Amino acid sequence: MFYSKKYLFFLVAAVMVISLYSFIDNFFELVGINFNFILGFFSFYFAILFSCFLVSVTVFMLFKYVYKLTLFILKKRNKDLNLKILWHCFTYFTYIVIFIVFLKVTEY
Amino acid sequence: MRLRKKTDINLRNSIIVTLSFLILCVCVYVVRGFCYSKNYILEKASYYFFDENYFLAARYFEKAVKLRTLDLGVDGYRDYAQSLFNLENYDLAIKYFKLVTELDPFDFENFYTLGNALYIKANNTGDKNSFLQACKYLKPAISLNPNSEKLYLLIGLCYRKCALYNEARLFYNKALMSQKFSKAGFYNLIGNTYRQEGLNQNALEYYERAKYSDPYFFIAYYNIGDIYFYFKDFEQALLYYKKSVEINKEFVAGYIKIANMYYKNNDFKNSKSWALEALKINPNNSKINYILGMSLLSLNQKEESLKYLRYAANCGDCEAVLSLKHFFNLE
Repeated sequence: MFYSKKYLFFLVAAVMVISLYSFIDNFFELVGINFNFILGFFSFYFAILFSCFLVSVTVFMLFKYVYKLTLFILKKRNKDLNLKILWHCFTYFTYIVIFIVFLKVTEY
Repeated sequence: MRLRKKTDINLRNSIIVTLSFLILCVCVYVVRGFCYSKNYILEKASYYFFDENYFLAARYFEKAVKLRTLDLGVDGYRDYAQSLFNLENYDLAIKYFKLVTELDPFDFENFYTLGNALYIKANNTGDKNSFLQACKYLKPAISLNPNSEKLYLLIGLCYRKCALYNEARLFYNKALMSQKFSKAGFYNLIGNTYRQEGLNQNALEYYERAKYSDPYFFIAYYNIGDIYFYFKDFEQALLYYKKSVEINKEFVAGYIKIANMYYKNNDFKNSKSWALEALKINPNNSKINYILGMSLLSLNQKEESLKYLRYAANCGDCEAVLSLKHFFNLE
């Protein structure tokens, strides 16, 4: 997603995380904690991006070795995996995580 | 040119996926909002409130408040405010307690809970205005129900926090005049206000009154002991401290004062025995451990004294820390 213009992905993710964080900030307000919204948003934003990056790297590495093993078993020519896959994993995971958190915070 | 076309396709697909994702989120939010029946939200809120899960209760009440078509009613707002109060969100709790007093201005409990919330908030923030505001709401509560002791106690406390001792005494006297509550308790409170003002002779007079109203009111003896101690009449002070622990054998503060007085008079044997008595009741008290440790040190029982001094120091007793430091420097 947004492979050609990566900065656009970070921008879109930031917009989505802002709206998500407003729900979470509401919880803090309920218990009387007045966090700095910008600080809280940035921590949450980077936490999501970092965790998704870690998961996508793990998945990418697993996929890479399974792929290489399959090629080896099938005795086919070894082709290196494109980093594009890693980027796709990362972006899709980010969307999935945002959606799951969104479902959780809007659940009654 | 070929490369540029590929990039555009990726961008176009990404925008489509992102827009679809956002539309999905909006649809989920809207559909969910319609699916929740108003009664369901209130039932859940009440369930969590009675289950003492105040965070979830407040969350559901908040949702119910946002559903403008739903009227929470006095009980609903009261429970919501109480949940917020228990979550220590005093500002919002006060807002809804105020609303409850507006909706039901004939229940003194509503004014009391509002006053109490203002008092707790003021205690946490040190805001004098909140104490005065609490008094403002407690006054109508007293006129609604002059037979509730907690109202007099709280309003007196609020005035004392603002150093308005005359006002506090006025309400304590009102409570005394109603003749429905413990006379000794309120005489003692009046004595406390005088003591806070530095008028120790007047305080003594009221503590004596408390003592005569109820000869088993051990706090009065303890306070009289304090006054005599202030007047440097140590014999009388000791006598009254001893009386207080005679009446209430579990009264640790009395034992501490006695042990401390003996220690200050270099009577280490007596200070040790009184500290040991206190230690039987509360072995974790740092002050007792300190006095006992110092008494034992003065009696040349170094090994044992270190045990108590170390315990007191670990509990955060500054004097114990200094004594240990001094002791090890000398060693």
